[in-house]
Amino acid sequence: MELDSDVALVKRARDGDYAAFEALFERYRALTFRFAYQMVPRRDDAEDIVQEAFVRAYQNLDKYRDEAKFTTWLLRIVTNLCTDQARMSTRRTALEQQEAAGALDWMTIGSYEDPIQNLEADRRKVALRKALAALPVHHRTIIVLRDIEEREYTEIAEILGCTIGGAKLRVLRARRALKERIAPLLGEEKQ
Amino acid sequence: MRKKIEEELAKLAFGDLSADEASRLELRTQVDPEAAKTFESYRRMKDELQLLGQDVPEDQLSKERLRQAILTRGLKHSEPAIQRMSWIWMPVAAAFIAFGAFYLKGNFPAGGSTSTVVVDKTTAPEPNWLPEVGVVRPPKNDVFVMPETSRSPVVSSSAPTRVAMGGTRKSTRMSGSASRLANDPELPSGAAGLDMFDRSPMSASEPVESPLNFGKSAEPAPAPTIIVIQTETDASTGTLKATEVGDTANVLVGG
Repeated sequence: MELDSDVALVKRARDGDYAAFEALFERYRALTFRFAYQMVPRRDDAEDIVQEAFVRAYQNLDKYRDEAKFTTWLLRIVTNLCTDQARMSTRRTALEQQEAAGALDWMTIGSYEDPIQNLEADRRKVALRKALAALPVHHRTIIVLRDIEEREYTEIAEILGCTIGGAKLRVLRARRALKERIAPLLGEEKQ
Repeated sequence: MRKKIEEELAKLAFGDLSADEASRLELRTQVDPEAAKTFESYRRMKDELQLLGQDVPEDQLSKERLRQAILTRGLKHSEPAIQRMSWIWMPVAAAFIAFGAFYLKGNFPAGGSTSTVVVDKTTAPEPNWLPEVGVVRPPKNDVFVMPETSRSPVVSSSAPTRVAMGGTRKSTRMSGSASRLANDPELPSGAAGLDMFDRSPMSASEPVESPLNFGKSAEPAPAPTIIVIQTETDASTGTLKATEVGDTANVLVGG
């Protein structure tokens, strides 16, 4: 077992070595924040969720089973927290965020040289983010896991506590739901 | 478009199909403009979702902030499983207690539920007396002061005696007066045997029934006399013979 492997760090943290847990935090904070940021509309909410996830992970290290990957276990905690957050968040919060994002649209630096292309790309990105935020949380979770974070189906199944076939089916449904939501935002006709 | 075809196109766009399936579906998109449009919309969605994943700001988390949060929240120790599941044991414990109570009640003497009250036929309770609680305890020695001549080996000071539980203070006071009565030479000799705690003027020499024997008869009830009328007639009286028997053990009833 490598000294800096996840399993070794978890074992050391269980034995009271807090520095080992901090090493795990440094290793996976970006991953968990990226996931949380896609799930909740506010950046500070995402940071709170990540911090809460690591606090809970530290408190429940004895429940972590070594046969699962630490990231899978951690993302499961983050997913549950994001689901709770999505249920508790009010529509007012989402509207505030959307308005704030819209107010800053003109400041966005585009990736294309053509300003018209930049505007179109920004418009599509905003529409996609709005559609993603408007999705039910179970659809949003699976889109973020599979299509943004590009997780394997086996890991998604472990995180969501379902079979691999069930995970694939959920991905299909979520993609269709996202396509149906984004089409009106882009002015595309429903097919 | 059929849902099945749309699902296949979505899989193709997101790279979830095998090479054979992908080539077959790509041929279809070349001849079917609607399929091509659907495939293109999914493909763009995939690219934009990947771009969305790159558009994440830097977080402002820190180890110090996490450490502070852990210290603020307290270092919770995981509870033992028995404590976490304690509420599950409550119905089990209640059922066990109920079963135990039922079982113990079932082991009481037959008819215990209806005849647990012993009726003292000698006296009726006086109205001024406090509610009776049947308690068995050995009598105090100073209550049973008996003359030497009347003391019988049958009488035992440790025989259980029913006492009225009117309160400890009252009992103590009456116990003192009973002692005085017992030592008063002017009183008749029978008065010395009175138990002032007992509402019945029973002699101490009489065995006192213990509440533990509730429902049990001290002596067997006398068997009823049976008269068997025979079919033969008595020569002297001309009537049927009648014989008195003690029990029915050897009596055959019927023809």
